[in-house]
Amino acid sequence: MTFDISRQYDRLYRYCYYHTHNRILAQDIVQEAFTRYMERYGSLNEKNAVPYLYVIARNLCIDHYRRQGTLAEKYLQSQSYEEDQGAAQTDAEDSLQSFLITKLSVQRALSRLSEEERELLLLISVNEVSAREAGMILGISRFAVYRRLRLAQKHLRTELGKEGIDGD
Amino acid sequence: MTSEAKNRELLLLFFEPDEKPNPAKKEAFLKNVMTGQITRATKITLDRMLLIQVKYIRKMAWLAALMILLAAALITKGNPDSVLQIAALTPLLAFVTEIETRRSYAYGMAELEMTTAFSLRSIRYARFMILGLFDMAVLAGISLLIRKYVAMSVLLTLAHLILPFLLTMIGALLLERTVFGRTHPYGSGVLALLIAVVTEGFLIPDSPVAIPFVMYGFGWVLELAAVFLLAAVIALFCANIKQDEEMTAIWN
Repeated sequence: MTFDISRQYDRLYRYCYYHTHNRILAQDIVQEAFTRYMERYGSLNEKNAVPYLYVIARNLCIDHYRRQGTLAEKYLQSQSYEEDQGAAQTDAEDSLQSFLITKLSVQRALSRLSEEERELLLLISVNEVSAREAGMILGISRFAVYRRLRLAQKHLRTELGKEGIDGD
Repeated sequence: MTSEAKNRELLLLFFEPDEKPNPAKKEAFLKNVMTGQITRATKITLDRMLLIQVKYIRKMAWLAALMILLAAALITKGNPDSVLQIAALTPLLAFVTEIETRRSYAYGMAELEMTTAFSLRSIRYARFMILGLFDMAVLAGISLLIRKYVAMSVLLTLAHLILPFLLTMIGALLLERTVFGRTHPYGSGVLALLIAVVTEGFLIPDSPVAIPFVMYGFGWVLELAAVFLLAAVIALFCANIKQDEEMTAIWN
């Protein structure tokens, strides 16, 4: 299997952006992760290239949190929700309105999940990382990944249901 | 649409970044990765680093040692008092060695070499070690070469040859610590000449210093002095490197 570098770049950017909510910083972290990986391993066709890239990026994000104290929770707990909601109520126009309302409902539902559950959903359900790779990234076994993912999905369905969205 | 795909779409509403990565920056970076400009950092092993330094040392430094070896071969033939004549040449060898090890400073390359794969400190240690060992090997070779012409042990002959060399090194290294020495890198050449002349002066038949040491069985004093001076040269060299680093840090 060949390594689609552009796709992995975008996925890693999505992961870093989720953690930093800063375009420039997220892109810098992605590039730093690739650079460090290349300096260490030399080729992207290594078997574990994807999890290693995520681990490097994750550690860089953690370093950033330590320095800046900007966790994803900050975003979730911050006013941006209310701002988004306010913006949605005032700016939404017909077709856009339902999209924004759905988006806000999903955000609210996800905000009630734990950080670990959100990270698992991002890695596996969104970024299509395998369970084995997700285990390597998070430092847990493959079986733990499956078990926690099932719980996260169940939890998400319940929370989406509360928001009036069918999660199945 | 499968439930998995539907779930992903829902999750993307939350996880999809509000801002896309800068496309120009992304493209430029990916191009660098694809063209191999971002690649595994070359790890230079110690033996490879030493080999690089061997190549970096100028031919003049190697030739100086070999010239003394050649001179020793010529002087010694049928001349039983040749030890001090050869010894008088070693300060010049010390001068060339010292000049070579501080080349980075003489040519203003110190700061550049501080940013290379190896630190300036390790580079200077390497050059000092390579040239120092080579010079010692040549002097030891000369001691062996002339052993049948002189009435001294090989070790004592080596002590005779090495003492002027080490004295010159100490003088040059001390000079290196001064402002004058820094601005006049070839100033140690004068010192080398002076020590050479003094060493040559011991050849005068009634010289009161060197030969009596040997005659009265105190040759071991010279051997011991050589060991102490060697330790002093190493300590002084290390101190000079530290001083250079501190001065560069202050300057920066």
